[in-house]
Amino acid sequence: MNRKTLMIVSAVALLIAAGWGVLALTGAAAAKPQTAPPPRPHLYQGATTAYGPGVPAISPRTNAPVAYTAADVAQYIKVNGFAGGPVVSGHHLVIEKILFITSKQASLLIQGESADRPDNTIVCYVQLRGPFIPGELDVPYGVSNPNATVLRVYEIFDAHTGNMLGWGGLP
Amino acid sequence: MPKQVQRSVSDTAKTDTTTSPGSRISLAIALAVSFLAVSFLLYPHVAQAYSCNVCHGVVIWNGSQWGAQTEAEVVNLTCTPADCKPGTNYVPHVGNVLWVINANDSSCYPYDACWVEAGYHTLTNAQGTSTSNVYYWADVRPGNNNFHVHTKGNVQSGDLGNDAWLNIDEYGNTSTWEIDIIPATSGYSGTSTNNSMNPNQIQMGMELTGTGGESANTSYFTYNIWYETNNNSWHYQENAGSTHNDSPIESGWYQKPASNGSNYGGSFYTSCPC
Repeated sequence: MNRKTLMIVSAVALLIAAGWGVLALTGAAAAKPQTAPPPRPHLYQGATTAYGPGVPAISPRTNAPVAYTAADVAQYIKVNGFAGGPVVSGHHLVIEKILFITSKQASLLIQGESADRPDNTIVCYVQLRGPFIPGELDVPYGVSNPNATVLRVYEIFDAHTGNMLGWGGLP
Repeated sequence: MPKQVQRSVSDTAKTDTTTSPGSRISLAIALAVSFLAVSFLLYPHVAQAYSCNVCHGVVIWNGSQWGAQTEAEVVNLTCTPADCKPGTNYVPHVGNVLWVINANDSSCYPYDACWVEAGYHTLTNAQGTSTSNVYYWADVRPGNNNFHVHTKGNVQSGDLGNDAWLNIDEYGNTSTWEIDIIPATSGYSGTSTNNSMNPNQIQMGMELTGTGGESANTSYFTYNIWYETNNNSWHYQENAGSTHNDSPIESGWYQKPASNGSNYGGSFYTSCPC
């Protein structure tokens, strides 16, 4: 390799280095928006519902109001555990209750919280004992014990679709 | 023998310019720069290493109020299922959230805070084989482990890039809170009853737990509003509050709230190029 070739190689290398520097600097700031977001009107013009579909969970067997069995629920829990988080290491999940009851009855079991279905609609209430780490709960910044454990929890499923409607802690 | 080697090197120097001092320096520079260039080319493809037991990129406003609202842009939140499989001591996930909080309340065990929250986050199944983005709201009411999460439905492709209106406000002084989540293709509502909390803080932004496989495009929170106590009148946020950001989340004000509310409470952004 003669001197001229070396000079060219060095120049190209320096250009690459300069480009890298520029890109690295702009890349570091890439996450910060560069333009103001324009105001956006609401696109959805329909009515809101307190009874969203939930998220798919248990596969229904029939098209009946109660479309699966307690055994199906037990199998689902065995495979999927508690939606809110894992059992504390060294412990085992225990299914304490699987109840097909009205939404109103389920609400009474969860300290009056809504079960997300009309009062007389059948839902599937499942009570579990751990203890569990409910890590899926989005805790705000600065609270105490963000990784606290809870001994008893529940899950509620739509009895017809098998979709999960919610979960939470019990005293 | 040493003399012979010395002569050999000297002879070579006369015929090959790469071994002259100047040439060696040039070669070294070329090699070093090439190494840097290769490193740069590889850099974007290497995920950041991070450890988030619970990380936040949020803005915080302190002060009594009866609720808040924002328009949070819906972006795709990624949580690679294999990386986000619920672990033995935490649940990897990422979300964009609005919280209305009663901070420092010992009647709310175990968090010493009660709150109502609404937003969307990732949910990975127990097998670590699938992850979905889900709209939800939740409350932590006064009492013992009195927390409840309501999964309303999956984020739809038509929602991405549009806003979801998130609203949390109390019906007067009734211990009953209305929650609204209205993205582009659907509208969900909820009611938090028997909730006697007296909120003294608002937070909004990103929460992330995990050690890898997560990412989120930039989302803007605009039209930021708080509700005044007692008469439920609303105001645009007129100050920047305080912010908190844990890496790898990137968050902050793109446009701080104007003191006269003229920019609709400013524009706060979150992202995670994790």
